[in-house]
This record gives sequence, structure tokens and C-alpha cells, in this order.
Amino acid sequence: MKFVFRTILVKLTLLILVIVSLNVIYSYTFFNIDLQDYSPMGSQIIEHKGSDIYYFGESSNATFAFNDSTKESISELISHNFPNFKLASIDTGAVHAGAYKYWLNMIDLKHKPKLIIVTMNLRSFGAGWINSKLETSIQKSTVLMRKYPNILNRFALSLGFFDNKSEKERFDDMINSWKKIELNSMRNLKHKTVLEWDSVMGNGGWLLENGNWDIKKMELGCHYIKAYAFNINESNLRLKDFDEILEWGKINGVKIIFSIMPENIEYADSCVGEALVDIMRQNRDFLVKRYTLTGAFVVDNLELVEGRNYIDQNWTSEHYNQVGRIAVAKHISNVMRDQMY
Amino acid sequence: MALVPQYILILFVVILVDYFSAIKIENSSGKLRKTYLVLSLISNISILCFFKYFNFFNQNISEVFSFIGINFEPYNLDIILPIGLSFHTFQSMSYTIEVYRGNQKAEKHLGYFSNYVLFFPQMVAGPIERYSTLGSELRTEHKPIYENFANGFRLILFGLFIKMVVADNIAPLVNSVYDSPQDYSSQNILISIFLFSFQIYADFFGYSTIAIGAASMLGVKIINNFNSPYLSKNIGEFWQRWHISLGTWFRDYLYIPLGGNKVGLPRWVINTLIVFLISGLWHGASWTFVMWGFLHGLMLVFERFIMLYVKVSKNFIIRILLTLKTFFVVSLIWVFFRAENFEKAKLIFHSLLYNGTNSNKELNYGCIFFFVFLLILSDVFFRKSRIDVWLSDKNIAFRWSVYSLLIFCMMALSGVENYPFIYFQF
Repeated sequence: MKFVFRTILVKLTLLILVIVSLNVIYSYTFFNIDLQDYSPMGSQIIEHKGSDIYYFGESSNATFAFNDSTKESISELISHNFPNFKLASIDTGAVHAGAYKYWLNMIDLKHKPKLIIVTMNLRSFGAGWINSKLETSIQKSTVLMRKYPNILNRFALSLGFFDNKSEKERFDDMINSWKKIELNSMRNLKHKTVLEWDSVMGNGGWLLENGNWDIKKMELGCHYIKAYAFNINESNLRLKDFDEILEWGKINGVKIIFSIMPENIEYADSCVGEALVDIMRQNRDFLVKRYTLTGAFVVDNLELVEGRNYIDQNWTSEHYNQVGRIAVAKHISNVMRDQMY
Repeated sequence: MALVPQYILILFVVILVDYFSAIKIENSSGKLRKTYLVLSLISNISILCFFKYFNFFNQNISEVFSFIGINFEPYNLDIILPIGLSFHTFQSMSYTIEVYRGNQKAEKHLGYFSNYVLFFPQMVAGPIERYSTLGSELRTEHKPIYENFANGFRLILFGLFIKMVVADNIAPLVNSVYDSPQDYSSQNILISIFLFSFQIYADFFGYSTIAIGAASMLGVKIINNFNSPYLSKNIGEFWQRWHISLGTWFRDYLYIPLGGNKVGLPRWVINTLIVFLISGLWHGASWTFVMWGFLHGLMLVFERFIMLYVKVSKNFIIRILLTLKTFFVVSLIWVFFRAENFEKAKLIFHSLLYNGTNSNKELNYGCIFFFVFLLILSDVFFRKSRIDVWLSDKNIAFRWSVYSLLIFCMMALSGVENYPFIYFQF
């Protein structure tokens, strides 16, 4: 018996050595191909090796209005203000800090980047985003960028070892949050939960003078409620992601700027009312206070862009026309200037 | 198909019914003996029918009614098929039948019998074991022996390689083509039809190999479920090499009781078709599975007729051609197994015949042909000896080179979607 266990122990040690060697082989052979196929953002970051500034963003950095005279993204506009620095723009649609924190692992620290700008999208703190059906593919795209040996990450990808919930599970979680989590507002909010508020809005939110319902406004109002009616508190999952980003910056001596992205406050007000705007502002204040105290630089752009400068007039989004993008780029650049020079 | 905790109770019902039936059968004589057997079989088949075929039968009855102009709304039960139900009911039934035939003594120890039905490595998707083999294996005391661990490890590693690298890399390609065959050229459709043959083989063979390996680690031997099936020269031979435990189950408990080979040709044809139709239905509650079984039966009958008039040469080239022919036929029949319904199967064949070189989408085969080549190579190579046995007498450097290669493929080159084992749904 003793012999059997000793032999097994020796073979297990040998197995570990084999896996270590295979990890080296994998890293030099198939890893980059896999990165391109399954984690293209990781590949992008490697391509931008040696950059001084990294801009991590979502679709706000890749959308333009049809009639914009300049099609430059926020990060491109920022880069004009810092011609002596190499800025890498890493962005993709519908992404959030839960992915950004893994993107950081792909940055080559030998080249000593100076600053990382990370977009802080208010909607990404809400149950709608946290439990979005896109979350599984977002999580999947980060597996190869995790801090484990490359071959183990690849194996984890095959085995589905990541937050790999089904669409139905995520939908149920989302509905549960909307149903159960009670809302807090400075005003005396009549509706306790998102679903309650949504139901009241959907069943008589906007009655026109002629006696007809303003269906368009009602639908948009419901959407605003689902997107922004939540209170960020210490138990919010997304905070942990931003905390990890900040921690990474501290450990590696890289400055981090969190950029709270503009949201269409005007439309939130006109479609739903001040109660929702209050909640949005409360959340913004919470984030600014929390991260300023922990040593991050927070750029508050929440109310920077006027309602008419949003590309999507019938939906919630962080897609701005050139006026909006220029304003955001300018605001971020102002904060950056103190950090870069 | 699902693992629902409450469904464990079904297993306990099967165990208790068959445990007590077998004791009663052994202790009775005459008609009573048969009554206990029938009761046991009815209980097992009822459970299977209720969970697997209730909605299917209801739907068909409704369609028959609607055909004759009567409106009948089928009542569909909102139930999920318990994982592995077809396997453990068949395994348990074989035990009571053997006790009835006097070939097997009834097990008096409920623990041993439960272990036979619940033996975890093969409980979910076979091989369907007989009590005469697995039962006695489970009754023997097994001390931890290093060789058993080593052999088990080799088999599990090889099984994982077959499943994760071969089957799971083929799956997304086959799925794309079966999702929208109209978008692919005839050539791509034909290739994916062939690839599905390898996918289902690698998937099921992989599972069986892992099951044998896991059992081997515990010192328990379970039967091989496959013996290089795609090297068969005819359909009859294919069924002696594919899902062997199911094939022998049907042979022993359906084909031979119906008369086996000892009946006239017309009766033999009918018996063969009955066995294959039921075998098809065993796989799933859908007419496509029934068609799959029927076509296998039909091909077997057809081959027997041909053999009456043609003497097959033992020439090597001829043997290769026959092997290719069998693979081709089996692959085409797999279309009915893979397609969700007849419309989809029809669309596959239609696209195969008429799409020509037109295609809206391209398939990226990557290293798939290399993996398929490795699978074929292993079939040819390990036809007479299993990989664990073959490796056991090689020197350590060679053995560990093979392990390293398999581990590398499994960790670095396996499919990235999570595909459950196909046979788990049966």
C-alpha cells in the first residue's frame, strides 16, 4: 500500500513537470492563435505593446453619428492632446470592468505604461448588465487572459470553467434582482422595486392631452428604469472589478483614471422623472467619493453631454455625436494633464 | 435529459422492483415465475415509457386523430428525461431475465445489487453490463494495485483525448452544417456527414473508455463497448463492433427469443427489422431514430440477400473497398440520427445533392482531419489490444512521451464549447 502511494506521488510529480513543460510549448506555439480566436482583446493589447497610455472602453469609443464631421473616437481625440505619448485604444462593444481587469494582465509591464483610462459605465453596475445574456461570452473572452499558466487557462476554456451560466439562469437572476432589491431615493419613492416601477410606468406612465398614451415615451421610460434604477452599495459586484483594477495599478505603479461616462440625464428626467435622476446622481456621487478616497482619479462626465447629442434618441446608450465625444475627451484630457506631466 | 436529484428515487424503484422480483422468481415455479418476470419487465418498461415516450406517443396519437378528422389536443407532460434511464433499466432487466432463465442466481444482498445498478462509471451511458460479470466483479475484494491505477489513468487520458479533442472539435462544424445546410456546398455537407460519424464515435467511445478507466482504477473490469466499428466490412459486422453491450442485449433478449437465425428467411427479415426498429426507438422518442434503426435493419437484410448470390473475395483491396462502403452507408444513415426531424434530414440530403459548389458560408476545418486521422490510426492500431495494455510493456520514456502528447492535445487543442456526451440523452 505504502509503495502504491509512493509511486503515485512520484508519478504525480512527474505529471506536474510535464504540464509545466507543455505550458512553455503551448505559450510559444498555439497561445497567440488561441488569443486571436477566443480573446481578441488580449491580442490587441499585445499588438499595442510599448504604449504609454491605454484607453479601455466600450462601444462609446466606437460609435459615430452619421452626420459627424469628425469620426474620431474619444481616445483618438485624447491622443491629440498628448502627442508625445503613445496611446493604445482597446475597445469593444458591451464590455465592462469585469473584463477590463483581465485585459490588464496582457499589458507588457517591461515598457512601463504610465496611465490606464478605464471607462466607468453607470449601467454596468445595474442588474440588467450584471445579468446580461452577453455576460457568458464576455467572461469566456477573458479566460485566456487570467493569471494562471496559459495552458491551464486554455484547459479551463475547454471545460467551461468560468462564469458560464445559461441565458435562462441569467434572466432569472435579473428578474429576481428587479423584483427583490428595494430602491432607495432621496425623494420619497413610491415604487419599492424596479419591476413595480416599471409596471406602473408601463401601465399609464404617459397620458397625452388628447387622451392617448405616449407609447414611445412610455417604452423609453420603462427602459430607463430598468437601466438606471438601482443603488450602488458595497455589495455591488462591479465595485470588486474596479477595486481589482485599482489594486493592479497600485502594485504595478501605473496610474488609473476612472471615467464615469455621460448618461442621458435629460431624457431620464423627461421620460421617468426626477426620482430616477436622483438615483443616478446618488450612484455617481457614491462612485466619485469611494474611488477618490481610495486613490483613483475619477473623471465625472455623467452630466457632460446634452440629451440631443446622444446618437440613440430612443434607447439608453453611451453613444455620443462629435460634440459629446469632444466634450468627454477634453474633460478627461484635463485630468490627465496633471498626471502625465 | 438531466440530472434531477429527485430522479434518484426512480433508480431506487427500479432496484427494489428487480431485487425482489428476482428473489421471487427464484423461489417460485411454473406460471408464478413468469408472472414475477412479467411484472418486473412491465415496471421497468413503464418507467422508461413514461419518462421517455409519453409525450411522443401522445403527439402521435393526436396526429392520427387529426388525420381522421378528430381534434385531439395532446397532453404534454412537463418532464425531463432522467439521465441514463435507458441504460440502467436495460441493465437491471437483463438481471431478472437471466434469473428467470436460471443462468443467474438471485442476489440476496440488496447492497450488491444496488451497486450493480448504480455503479457510477457506467451508470449514465453504459456499457450495459450483465450481473454475471459486473456483479461478480463487485463482490470481489479489490485492494489498491498500482497497475490498476496506471491502466485506469491511461484509459481515462485516452478517453478524454478522444472526447475533448476529436469529438468536441468536430461538433461545432457539424452543428453549423446541420443548422443551415442550405448555406454550404455539397462537398462541405458530405464532409460533415462523414465527420458526424467520427464525432458520435469519438464521443461515445471516449465516454466508454473513461468509464472503463474509472472502473479499472477501482480494480473492476467492465466490457469493451467498441471494437473499431468503422473497420467493419458489412453492417452485420458493424453491429458486432459498435455499442457491443446494447447489440448483445438485443441479441440475447429480443432477437434470439424471436427465433434468431433458426427461422425461415421471411420470418428472419421481420425479426431483424423488429429488433432494429426497437433499437432505434430505444435511442430516442422520435421517428428519425426509428428510421435510423429501420435503415440499419434494411441494410442488414439487403446484405444477407447479396451474400446469397455473391461470394466476397478476401483480397485486401476488396476488403478495403467493402470497409469504405460500410462507412459510407453507416454515415448516410447517421443523418437520421443527427437531424432533429425528417424535414431537416430531407434538407440535408437535398442540399447534398443540389447545392453543388454554391455556398454562403465556409467551414474552417483547422486540425480536424489530423485528429480524425489519429482516431482512425488508433482504431487500426488498437484493434487487437487496448491502449492501456499496449502501453504497459513500453519503457517509461516512450510511455511518458505518449502521455505528454495526449495531455498536450487535451489541454491545448480541445474544443472550446462545452458539449455534453451525446449518449447522455438516452
